[in-house]
Amino acid sequence: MNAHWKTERVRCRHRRATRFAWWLLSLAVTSIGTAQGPVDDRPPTIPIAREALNDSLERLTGPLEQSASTVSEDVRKALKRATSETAGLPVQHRLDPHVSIVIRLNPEARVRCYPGPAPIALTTTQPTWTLVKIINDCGSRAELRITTRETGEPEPRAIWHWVGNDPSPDAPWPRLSGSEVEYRWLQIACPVPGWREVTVAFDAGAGTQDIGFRGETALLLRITE
Amino acid sequence: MSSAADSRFFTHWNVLSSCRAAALCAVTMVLAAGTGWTSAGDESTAGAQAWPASPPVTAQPLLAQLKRLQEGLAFLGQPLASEITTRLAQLSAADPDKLVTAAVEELLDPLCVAAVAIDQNMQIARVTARGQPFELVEHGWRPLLIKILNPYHSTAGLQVESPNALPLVNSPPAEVGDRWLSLLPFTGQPMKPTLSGLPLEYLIVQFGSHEVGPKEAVLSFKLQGPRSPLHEEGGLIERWDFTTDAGNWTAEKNCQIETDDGLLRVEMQAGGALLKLPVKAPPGKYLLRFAGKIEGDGDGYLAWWTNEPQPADTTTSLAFPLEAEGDQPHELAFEALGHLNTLRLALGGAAGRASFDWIALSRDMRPGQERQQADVAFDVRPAIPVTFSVRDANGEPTIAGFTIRDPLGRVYPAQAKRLAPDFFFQPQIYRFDGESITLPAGTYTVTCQRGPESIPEIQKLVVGEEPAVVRYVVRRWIDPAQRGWWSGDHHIHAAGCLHYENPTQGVHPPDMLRHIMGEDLKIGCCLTWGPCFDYQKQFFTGKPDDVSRPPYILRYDIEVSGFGSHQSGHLNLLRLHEQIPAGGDSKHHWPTLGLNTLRWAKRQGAVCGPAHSGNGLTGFVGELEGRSSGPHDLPNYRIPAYDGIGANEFVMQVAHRVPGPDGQLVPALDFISTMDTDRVAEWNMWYHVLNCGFRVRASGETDFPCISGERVGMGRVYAKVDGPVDFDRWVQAIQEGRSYVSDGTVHLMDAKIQSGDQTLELGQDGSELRLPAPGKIRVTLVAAGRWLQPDGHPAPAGVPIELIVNGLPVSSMTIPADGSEQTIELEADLQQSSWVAVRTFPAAHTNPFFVLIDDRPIRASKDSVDWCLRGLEQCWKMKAPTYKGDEFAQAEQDYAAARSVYQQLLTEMQ
Repeated sequence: MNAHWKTERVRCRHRRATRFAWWLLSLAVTSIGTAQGPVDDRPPTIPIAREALNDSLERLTGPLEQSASTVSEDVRKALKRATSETAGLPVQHRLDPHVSIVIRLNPEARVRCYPGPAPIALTTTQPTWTLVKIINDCGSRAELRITTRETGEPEPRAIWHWVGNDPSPDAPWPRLSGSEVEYRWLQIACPVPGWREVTVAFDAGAGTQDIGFRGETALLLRITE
Repeated sequence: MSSAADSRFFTHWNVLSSCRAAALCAVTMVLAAGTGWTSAGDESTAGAQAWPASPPVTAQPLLAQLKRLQEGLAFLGQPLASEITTRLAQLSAADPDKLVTAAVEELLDPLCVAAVAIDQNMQIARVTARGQPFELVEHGWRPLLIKILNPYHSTAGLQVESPNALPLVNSPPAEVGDRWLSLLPFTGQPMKPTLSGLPLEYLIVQFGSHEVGPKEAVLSFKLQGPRSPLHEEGGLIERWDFTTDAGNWTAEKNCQIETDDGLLRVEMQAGGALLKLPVKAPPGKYLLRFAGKIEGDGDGYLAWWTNEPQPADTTTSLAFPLEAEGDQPHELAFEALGHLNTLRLALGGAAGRASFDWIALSRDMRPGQERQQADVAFDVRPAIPVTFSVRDANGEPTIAGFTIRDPLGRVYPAQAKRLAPDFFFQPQIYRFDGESITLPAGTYTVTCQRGPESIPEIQKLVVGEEPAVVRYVVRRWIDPAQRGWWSGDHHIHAAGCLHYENPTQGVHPPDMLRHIMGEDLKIGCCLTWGPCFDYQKQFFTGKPDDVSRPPYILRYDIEVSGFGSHQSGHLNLLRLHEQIPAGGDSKHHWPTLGLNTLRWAKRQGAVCGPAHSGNGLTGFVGELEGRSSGPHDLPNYRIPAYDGIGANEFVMQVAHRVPGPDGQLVPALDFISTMDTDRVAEWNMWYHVLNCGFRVRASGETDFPCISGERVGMGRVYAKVDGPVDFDRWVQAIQEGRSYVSDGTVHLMDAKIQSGDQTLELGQDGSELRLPAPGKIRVTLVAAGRWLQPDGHPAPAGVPIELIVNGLPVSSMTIPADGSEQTIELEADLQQSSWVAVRTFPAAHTNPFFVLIDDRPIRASKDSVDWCLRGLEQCWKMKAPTYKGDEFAQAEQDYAAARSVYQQLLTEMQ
């Protein structure tokens, strides 16, 4: 078998130049005709009336006045632009590049979440507000709960909570509005610098776990001083 | 900057401004695509390169990532060996980074086919292959690892390809022998589609082969970046946000600029506006990004100047299309061969306005188009046919479920590469007698079972060089069908949730029938719903599907989910004759008021009930003060939030009667679904409405594969049908309450109620027993339960059986948990008209008998009426926004009518 294997190996090398040329040619042909796309990580945009986003925009802009430094200038500008848009899609086009987490409820109220295009940049000096987009295919108005998990349980743990919501353990969670699209601020605080992977899970009443880990996503966070 | 160069630029720009930009873009695309060819001669093969080691990596994220890796491999049915997982579990985030990193590499590197190292330019610097051949299986899949060394935290995607994995179709004849490999990176949860950014990472790639023997493959790797990064981590030269001024940007020609409210506003005149930026940067590749708006479409142009004169044929400018409503930042990549000193940005040729949110200049750190590759050796083991000999207890050929694992716990056939009728989200497969699969030579553990009524059997299978046989004779601990109790699951799906949408939109009737037969589930109600609706609707016939093999019956119906009235609570509509209401042929025109959906369904004689009842009933907004909950928290008096999609509008619907097929009024609802959501929430709602006097039955469901994809029939309803079963009589038995619900571990059969000289079977005469006066009743039934401890012995505490009267247990007894059938009697003294049932919490529940004393209706609990009334108000509050258009007024009326019903009940009780 070893001799056969070696012979096979020589044969493979001998054909490689011709094979590789054909392969590259086929790739070139396809690359001319199509956009060689890098990963498109934008959240989906949903056709929705501008009015349906009023609550979201109010929820985003209101608290900003009290916290001058937890949101980048880029995001503030995008939010300002979004507020002046008169249709639902352009509002989403303004905000979506700044979304860090996307949550989607399917018609069965099963939650799926994944990172958005904007990375989460944390510092030890102050909490960071990140933008979350929620797409609600079932019209649920359930509470949206967050749980987090950090392998190894490092101390102190990063703290996550919805901005505008009482962070104490007994306080009720904020409810989904029932609108097909809404945006929320999520505050994250971690006083210890370094790298950390956190698994964050969202639950809207139907449980976080579906087979295949749909209701949670792992985020690698870099916390700088 | 030379005047000759300026002159060349402006001349060129004027010419291009009057040409179609598409032509130039096409050329640009070809040139850009052509950069992928530059590596044609760059065949960096591993050869004898040393296997790379990683510097120490922060322990916590490294171990977190490895936990996901283990979960991903287990999900694929190909877990890590137990010795490796044991040693990984001994590592801690508190251990020194160096120790953890070294230990991880020692354990996992031998499982890697290649190591990919990324450099500071975010390019793949080197690929190193392991020296030894890796084992694959013929027609099978094996996940192997790729080690990623990523010290500069790239978060690009890694593309893995091979010329040996190209399609056979249209292959040149000389290439056919080389195209033996199948290759598929696993990037689903809990893995990620892109690199995490951690300096050390392991990715999963699945390898398969349709040929046997020693093989070699060329693995090629390339990084793919995200489309619109907004944050430049390193490489930023300068960024202009225009919050105070325009920085060094000036209006050079045909325009005026000013900053206003964080925007750079440009007033453009005809002839082409031109902005200029002096800049200092070394030679290299750059990205100019900007976000903005321009009135009217047109062509833009970027040009760059360097200190050093460039040859005439050097590219120093590029054109790009300006999109008025573009929603993504523009990103222009260019290369300065000398020291950069000026940029110019031209904005079309027409007069108008433009505005920029921001502009950023950075070094181009995106992954390049170059590929790196390595040769990897494999040894493909031949697969041997294994045939299943499957017999039922009566000796007849049948079907069963089989879970096949090797000593390392790996599942066969590989889960991730399954197509229907095997589902990738389950470890088991279902095979009829005489069917076969292929397995490589080796030893396997085969778990054989046929639904919860069977006794699972574990066999050892040794596959040598000759075909092998798995022999299984189904043994049951109980067979309710012999007593006429036919199992069913009224809520399973062939599309959506865990089902794929490619290559087909969900799976097909023969696939679903295989699963219900494999689980010995007699009736499967396959409900078409939102996902893949327009594809799956073709299977509706208004009768059992032709694939049915009595007594195994598959029938397509509808779950209103993802459309119509779904937001107020999903509805299961069984035994429809018309699948879609008039006014459309899809799902977009359905009513938004659930009761309107029921009106339509009941008119055609359908049997209806809410789906996954507990959803929306597990959060609370208040309670009836001063009330105590019963055992198992049933009933309880907490007011649910009605914020979900379960039995929510149910609390209003149950109070209504609507026209049936003959125009006579019938209850709007027939059943409440149970056995797949929070049991207390399900049964609590049921008990309260029964206490109000509404005769709603319970039916069992799984909502496969949404609430669970483990198997069909996890939640079941057993309905009594005399003689051979058919769908109409089975669903009629559910409507009449001649049934019990069960998870398959406990059975409550042949329930009868007796008082004096009257005896009534469950479901007979509407399950209604009339007594002239208060008195004793006796319920007899045949009960069996099989609850096993981990060691396989029956639970010593046995299986509790309770007699329930108006929601509370009044007597109970315990039967052995060994599955033996026991005839039992339970008694109660009834002082008022009551509903009576038998349950084993949370595993099984009979439908109720309705005992009327002195012809008085059942008004068991004023508190239940109060609870329902408060629930009605809460439900209206939550669901009113979901009723659209004309239906809102109807909804108001329907809720008002329900309110009246409850208030009338309260008056009666007072």
